[in-house]
Amino acid sequence: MTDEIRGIVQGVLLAAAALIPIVNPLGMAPLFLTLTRDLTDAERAVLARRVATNGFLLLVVAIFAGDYVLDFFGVTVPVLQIAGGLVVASLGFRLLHDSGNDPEQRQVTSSASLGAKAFYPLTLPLTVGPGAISVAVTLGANFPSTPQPFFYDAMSAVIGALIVCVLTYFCFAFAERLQRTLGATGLAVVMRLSAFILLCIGVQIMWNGLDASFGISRPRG
Amino acid sequence: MAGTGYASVPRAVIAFSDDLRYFLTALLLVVGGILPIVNPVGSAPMFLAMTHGADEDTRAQLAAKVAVNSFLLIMGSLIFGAYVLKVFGLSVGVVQVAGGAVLCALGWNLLSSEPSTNPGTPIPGESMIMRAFYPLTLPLTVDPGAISVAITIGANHAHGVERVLIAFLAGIIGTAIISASVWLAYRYAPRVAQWLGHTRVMVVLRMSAFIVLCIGVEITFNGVRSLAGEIAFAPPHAAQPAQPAPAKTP
Repeated sequence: MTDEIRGIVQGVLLAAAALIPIVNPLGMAPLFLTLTRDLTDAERAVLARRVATNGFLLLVVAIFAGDYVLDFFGVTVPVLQIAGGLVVASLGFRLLHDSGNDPEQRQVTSSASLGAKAFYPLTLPLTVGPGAISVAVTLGANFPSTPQPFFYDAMSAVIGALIVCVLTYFCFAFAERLQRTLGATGLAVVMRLSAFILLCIGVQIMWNGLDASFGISRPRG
Repeated sequence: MAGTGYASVPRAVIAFSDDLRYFLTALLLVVGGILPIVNPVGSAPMFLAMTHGADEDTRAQLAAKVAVNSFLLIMGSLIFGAYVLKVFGLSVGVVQVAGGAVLCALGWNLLSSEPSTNPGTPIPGESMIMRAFYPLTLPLTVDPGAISVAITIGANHAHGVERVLIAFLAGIIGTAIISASVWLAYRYAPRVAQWLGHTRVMVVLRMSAFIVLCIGVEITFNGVRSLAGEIAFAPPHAAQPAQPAPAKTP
């Protein structure tokens, strides 16, 4: 039993360690704040919970069904990375140029479209991006096929995803404290830097996809 | 470390002169590596264009703010840059590609903007101050090229506590020199503009916008080349021509 517990703990740590730097809740909090800047604190907390729930569901689906979905559409992981990296890069680019009166972002005010915004762009490219999805798909694709080890691996991956999403919730729900601490100018600076890093992450994911699909890069050593 | 040839010189003096030489080398590396890329004199016309319509006071305030921001950004890249890249799994080439694209977009917009809707339909002072970081500091003054050089310099770790302290000191002083020159160039740019007259200023603006665009392409290309360099040692069966990297302009 202790061996199994140790195995699960290791699996949880592996999943969480693989996902946290990519989901990067702390770094995305300023961007979350920017995209929801017209909301009240209460609405933002609701939205943060919804984003965390969406993100968790998305990760779980990617872990268990990702492989089959990609297979069904004949899409490979590198192609997912190229397309998804493009989406992330364009979001980063838009946030970098965001002047604060973009009509598209004003729509977030109306609470009717709140739910729609909670999935795109807040959950899909921002929180659980193509990088996180491809990691989740890889995690799921490496599950053993025999029932018992499969169960343990699956459980630890789900717990890992849960940890990541709870962290995301806390980072996003308390994002306005960040605003109070940093002040308007400080937040603007942090936001632009995060947007630039998001753009770089998008380009990196695209490059990883290109690199993997042509398999021409020498092994890094 | 003290060679026999220095027998007549006190040991402490030798150690000191060694440290001094190390300090000067580090200082030259920072200033010589980053200042030509930041190029305050070349960026000054762009600063003028982006702050078109602001009064003298706002501009002076902005020049000081941009200088302080540049100092913090370069120091941050020197000290934390390599770690940030590692945490997010980024490579320097990717930062160059992405940043070059941003710079291209900025140059393109400035080049093709109509004089009437020029970046400078007069903007109230407060929202001007908000622009001090983006776009004035980040892609314009301290461009991605400068950031990537700073990250590279910062990644060369010195050995020993003493050397690290010296390199840190050199980094602070070198960055201060760069920001001081940024401040001087931006502070006195309006005077030069007055001396040149309106028409010539417009010509200089368009030229600088075009140069910014070229610098953006250059940085993107350097990034693509360093990414593609990973391909250079591919096994022969996979030696396809390098794929066009995801350099995109909006």
